[in-house]
Amino acid sequence: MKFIHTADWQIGMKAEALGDRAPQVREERLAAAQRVTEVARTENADFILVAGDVFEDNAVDRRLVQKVADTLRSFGAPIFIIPGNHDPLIPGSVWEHPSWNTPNITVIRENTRIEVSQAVIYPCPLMEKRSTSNPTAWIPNENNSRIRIGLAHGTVEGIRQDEPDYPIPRNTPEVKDLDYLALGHWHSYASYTGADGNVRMAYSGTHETTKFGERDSGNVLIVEIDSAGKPPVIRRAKTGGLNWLSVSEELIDQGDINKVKYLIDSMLNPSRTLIQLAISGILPMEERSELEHIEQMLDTRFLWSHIDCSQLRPAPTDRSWIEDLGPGVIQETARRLLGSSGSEPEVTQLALARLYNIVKGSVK
Amino acid sequence: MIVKSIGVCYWRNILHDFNIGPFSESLNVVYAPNGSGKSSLFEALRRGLIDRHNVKGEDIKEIQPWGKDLAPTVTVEFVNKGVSYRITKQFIRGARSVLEKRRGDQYEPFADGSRADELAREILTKDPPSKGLSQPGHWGWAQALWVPQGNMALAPLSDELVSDIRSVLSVQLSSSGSSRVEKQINALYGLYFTGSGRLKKGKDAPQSVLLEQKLAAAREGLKRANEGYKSFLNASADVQESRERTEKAKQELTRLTNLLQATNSEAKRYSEIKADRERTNLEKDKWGTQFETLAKIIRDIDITEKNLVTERKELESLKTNLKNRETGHETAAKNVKQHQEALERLKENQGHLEDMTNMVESARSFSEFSSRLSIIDTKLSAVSDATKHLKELESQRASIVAPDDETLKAITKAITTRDNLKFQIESLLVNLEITAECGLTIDILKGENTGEARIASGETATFRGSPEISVRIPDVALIRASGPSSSVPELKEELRKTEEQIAHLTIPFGTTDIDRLNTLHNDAKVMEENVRAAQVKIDTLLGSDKRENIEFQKEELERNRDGILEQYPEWADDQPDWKNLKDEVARSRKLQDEQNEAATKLWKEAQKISSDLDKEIGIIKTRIDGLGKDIQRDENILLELKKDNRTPEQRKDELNEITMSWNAAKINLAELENQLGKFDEDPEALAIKLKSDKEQAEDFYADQKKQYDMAVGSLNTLSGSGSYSTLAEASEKIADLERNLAREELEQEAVRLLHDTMESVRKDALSKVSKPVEISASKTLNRICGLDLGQICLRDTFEPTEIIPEACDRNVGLLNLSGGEREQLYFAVRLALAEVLAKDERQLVVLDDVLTATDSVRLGRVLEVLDEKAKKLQVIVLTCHPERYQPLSSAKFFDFRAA
Repeated sequence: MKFIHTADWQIGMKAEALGDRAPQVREERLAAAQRVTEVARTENADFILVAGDVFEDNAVDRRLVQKVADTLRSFGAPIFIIPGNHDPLIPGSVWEHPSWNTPNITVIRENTRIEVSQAVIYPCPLMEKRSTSNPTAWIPNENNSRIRIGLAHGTVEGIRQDEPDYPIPRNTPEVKDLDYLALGHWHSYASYTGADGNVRMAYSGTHETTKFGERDSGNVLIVEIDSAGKPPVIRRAKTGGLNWLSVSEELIDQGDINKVKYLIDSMLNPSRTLIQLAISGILPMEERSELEHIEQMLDTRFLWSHIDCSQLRPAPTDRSWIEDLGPGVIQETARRLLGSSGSEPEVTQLALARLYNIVKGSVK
Repeated sequence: MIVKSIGVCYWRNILHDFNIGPFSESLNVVYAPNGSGKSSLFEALRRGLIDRHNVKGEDIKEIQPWGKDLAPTVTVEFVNKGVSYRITKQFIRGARSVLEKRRGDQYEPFADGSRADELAREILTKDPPSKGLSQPGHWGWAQALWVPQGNMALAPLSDELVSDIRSVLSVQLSSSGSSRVEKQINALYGLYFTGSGRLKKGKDAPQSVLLEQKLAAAREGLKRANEGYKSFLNASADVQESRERTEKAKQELTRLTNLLQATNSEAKRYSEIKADRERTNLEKDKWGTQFETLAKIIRDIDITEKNLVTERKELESLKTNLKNRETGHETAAKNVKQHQEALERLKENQGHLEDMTNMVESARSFSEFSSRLSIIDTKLSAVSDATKHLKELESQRASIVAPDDETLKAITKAITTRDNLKFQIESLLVNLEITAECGLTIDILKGENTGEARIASGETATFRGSPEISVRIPDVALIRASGPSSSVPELKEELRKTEEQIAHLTIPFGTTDIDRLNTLHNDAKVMEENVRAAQVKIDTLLGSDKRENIEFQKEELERNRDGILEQYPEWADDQPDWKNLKDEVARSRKLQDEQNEAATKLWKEAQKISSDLDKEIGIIKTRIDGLGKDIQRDENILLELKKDNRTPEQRKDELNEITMSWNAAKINLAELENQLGKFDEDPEALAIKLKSDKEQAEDFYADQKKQYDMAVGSLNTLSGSGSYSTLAEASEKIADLERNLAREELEQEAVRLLHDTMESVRKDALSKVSKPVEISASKTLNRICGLDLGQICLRDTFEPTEIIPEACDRNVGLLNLSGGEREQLYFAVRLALAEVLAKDERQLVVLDDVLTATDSVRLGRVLEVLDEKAKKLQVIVLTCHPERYQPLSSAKFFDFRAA
C-alpha cells in the first residue's frame, strides 16, 4: 500500500517581510499543492493524508478554499484531511465551506476509525488552536489484520517549546500499535526511529518553504507499507517551487566586493529565488559603487531580496579623497563624518557616501 | 549703493521743494545750524529707501508739517551696481511710490507701488520693516552704515545683517571648489528640508512624507482588518458558546419531558389511591355514625327507664309531704289573725298620744311668741326716742347759713388776691406831696386826677399817678415825678374783677368778713357732727334691720299668738308650762312604744311561720308539677327510642355488626394512607410544576436556538469575507511601506547629517571671520587714539564687547572707557564693517552730527581716516560745525540753507 503524507500547506499565509512580493509567494503555495497531487498521481498512491494546517487561518479568503478543494478534487483518489491548530474545526472554519462536499475528499471531523484500502486510519482532528492534551490519546489498541495508520497534528515530545502544544509522546507508534503515524505542525522534515530500529513516525514538513531558515522543507513523503507490522518505506519528493537563500559575505580585502557581485550574478533561477544578503567587513569608498550595483542586481533579478550592510565599515585608511579636497568647509565636513562615533553608523556611512559622490561629480 | 541726490517737500519744517545734491561719491559735508532740518533729511533718506509708501501709524503722521494736512514727499537718486535709479515716495495723503531707472539721460519708470518699495528696500534689507523704522535693527545694512544723530554706539545687529557680513567674509575664506560642493549639498538638502530644517510639505514634500501618509492610511486599513478578524474570531467563539448553550437547553428540555412523563404516571396512581382513601374514609365515617347512633339509643333507653323509676318514687313522697304542710299552714293563719287584732287595739291609743304632743308644741310656741313680742316693743320704743332727737338736731343745722369748705376756700383766695392787687397798685403810684407856703393853684397835667387843684398856704397836698405825675405851678415851676413804667389801670381792672367775685361768693352769707365767715363755717360743722351722731345711735338700735321690718315681725308674732289663744283661750291669763307638759307626753309615748313592740313581734313570728309554710307548699307543688312533666317527657322519649319495636338483644346484635364493618373500614384507610405516605411529594403538584418547567425550557431552548441561528448567520457572513487574508495583505502592505520609508528616512537622515555637519563646520569657520573686522577696527582705533587702547574684541555678531589694552594683562569693558573713546571705538568698528560690506560695491556711510565728544586732535585723525576710507565709501556728514570738517579738502560741502 502506498500513500502520500503531507501537511502544513499554510494556504493564505501572511508574509509581511516580503512586502509586495507576498502575493506571488502565496500563489506559489497553491501551485505547490497542485504539485503534491501530481506526485501522488505519478507515484500511483492509494490516497493522500494531509496532517493539518492546510490553511494558515480559518478566516482566509474563501476563494482560496475553493481553489484548494478544486486542486484536491482533481486527484480523484481518496484524500483524508484533519484540521490543524491553524485551521481547527470551530464554528465558521474553512471546513464548513461547501467545496468540501467532494467524493474523494474527507475532512475528518471526529475521532473515529476509517477503513481505506488495506488500512485503517486513526485521525486526530483538532478542535481548538491550543491544547495541552495529546491528540492521539483516543486511538484504541485493537487487534486486526489491517495496516494501522495514525494521522495527527502536534508536537512530538522532545521538541523544545515554551509550553506543551498538542504533545504527542515519542513512543506513540509502539504504544498505539501503529504501523505509521503521519504528523503535521513542524515545517521541516523530521523522522523518528522506534525501538525496533524502524521509522514509524515522521513530520512531512511543509510542501513549500514558508520562511528563511527552514531546514528540509518543500517536500512530501511517499510512504509504502506492505502489510500490517511491516516497516514503512519512506521517500521524499520535492514539491517546493521557490528557493529561500540566506547569504552572508565578509569583505576583507580590496576587491572582495567583486566576488560577492560575481556570486550574485551567477545564481541560477533568480526569479524564483528569495535572498537575504548580509555583507560585513570593510568597504573602500571607491568600491561603494559596486555595492550599489549589487543592490540593483538583487532588486531587478530576484523574486525578493534584502541586503544588510549594517556591519559594513569604510576602510579606516580611506582618506585620500578627503585629503584631495583641500582645506575648507567640505574637507572638514568629511573629516567630521569620518570620525563620527554617532549611534547610527548607517546614517553616517550613507552621508559620507553621498558627499563622496558629490565630490566625485557623480551627483549632478 | 551710493546716493546722488535727495529731494523732500512738506517734511516736518521743510515746507517747500528742497533738493540737495549731486553728492560726491566719496566725501560730502552737509552743514546748517541747529533746527534747520538736517536730521529730517536723514529721516527722509531712510524712509525713501526702506519704508513702505503706505505705512500707517502715529510715527509717519509726525513727519507732516505741524498743523498742515500736506503730503510729505521724498525723492532719492541713487546708484546701485552701476545703475542709476530714482525713487519717489509720497506718504499719508495720496500715498504712492515710483521707482525709475535711468536710461541715457532720462529716468524711465521701472516699478511702482509696493513693488517699487520692495526693489528699493532689497538694496539694504531683505526683511520689510514691519515693526517700523524707529529701531535701527530694521534698517538692514544701514544699521551699520548710517549713524543717527549723536548715536554712534552699535545696537545688536540684526540677524540678517550679521548673516550678510558673515557671508561676505566667508567667501573670502572658502575655496572656489568647495562652493560647488556646498551648493550641491544644499540642493540635495533642499530636496527634503526647508530652510528652517523642517521636512518639506505639499507638492514639494519628499518621498518619506508621501510614504508616511500612505503608511497612516495603510495602518487604518490594518486596524479595520484587525477588527474584522477579531469580529470573526469573536463570532466563532459566540457560535461555539451558543451551540453549547443550545445543546444544554435541549438536554434540559429532554430531561424535563421524560421526567414529566414518569411523574404523570405516578400522579395517576396517586390520584387513584387518593380516591380510594376518600371513599374508604366516607365508609368509615358512615359506620362510625351508625355505631354512635345505635349505641346512643341503647344507652338512652337505659337511662330513661332508670329516670322514670326515680321520678315516680319522688312524686309519691312529695304528695304526702304536701298534705302535712297544708294542715300546719291553717293553724299558723289563725295565730296571725289573733296577733293582728291585738295590734289594732294598740293603734287606737296612739291617737290620744298625738293630741298631747301637739298641745305641748303649741304651749312652747305661745311662750316663745310672748317673749319675742316683749323684746320688739322695747326696741321700737328706743328707736322712736332717738328719731325724735335726730329731727330736732337737723332743724337746728338747717337754721345756720355758712359757707362750705370749697366756697370758703374760694372766698379766702379771692380776698388774698384782692389784697395783693391793692398792694401792687399802691406801690406803683408815684406820690407827689406839695406843702404850700402860700395858696397855690396847681395845674395837674398827668396823674390819677388831672385838672386844676388848689392848695392853700400851709397845706400839704399829695398827688398820685403812674407812671409819672406832672404838675405845673403857674409862674413857679413845672414839676414832674416819675416811677416804674408798669400799668396801674390794668391792675385796677383786675382788682375790680376780684372784688366782684368776692361779692358774688359772699352774698348768701350776708358778710364779706372772713373771720365771720370762718365762725359760721365752724358752727355748721359742729351741728352736722351732732346730726351724724344721732343717726348713728338710731342705726345702732336697729342693727342691720329696718324699723318697718321690725314692726312687720311684731304684727306677725301677734297674729300667731292670737291663733294659739283661739285654741287655748285659758292661756291668755295663765301662761302654760310647756316643759312639764312635754315630760308627761314623753312618758306616755314610751309606754305605748313598748306595748307596740311586743305585739308586733308576736304578729311577725306568727306571720313568718305561716309564710314559710306557704312557701314550702308552693315549692312542693311546683316540684310535683315538674316531676309530672319529667315523667311525661321520659315516657315520650322512651316511646321514641323504642319505636323500632326491637328487643334490646336485637339491638345489641346489630351494634356488633356495625362495629365490625367500622373496624374493617379503618384498617383499609390506614393501608391507603400508608401507600400515599410512600410518595416523597405530591406527584400531581410535581407534575404541574414540571409542566411549567418544561414550558419554560421549551421557550429557553427556542430562544437559544434562535440566538444560535443568528450567530451562525453572522459568522457565515464574516467567514465569507476572508478577514485573515485582508489582514495579511494589509500587514504586508504596511511592512513594504515601512521598509521603503526606512530606506527613504535613512537617505533623508544621511542628507541632513551631511548638511548639518557642513553647516556646523561653516558656523565654526564663521565664528572666526570676525577676526579681520577686529583687526581692521583696532587699527583704526589705534590711529585715532594711539596704541594704548590696544585690541578691540568683537562678539561673533560683531558687537564690540571689550578691549585688550596694550599695557594691561586683562581685558577692559567698554564702560571703563571715556565717552570720547567709546565714540571713537564705535566709529572704528562701523568703518570696519562698512569696508566689509563695500567689498563688491561702494556703500553710503551717513554720519549725522556725530563725533561731538571727540577732541580736535583726535578729530583731525578721524578726518584723516575718513579721507582715506572715502576711497571705497561714500560718506555724507551732517553737521552744524562745518569748520570742524574744513581739513577735508576733498570733501564736497553743501550749505543746507542755501539748498
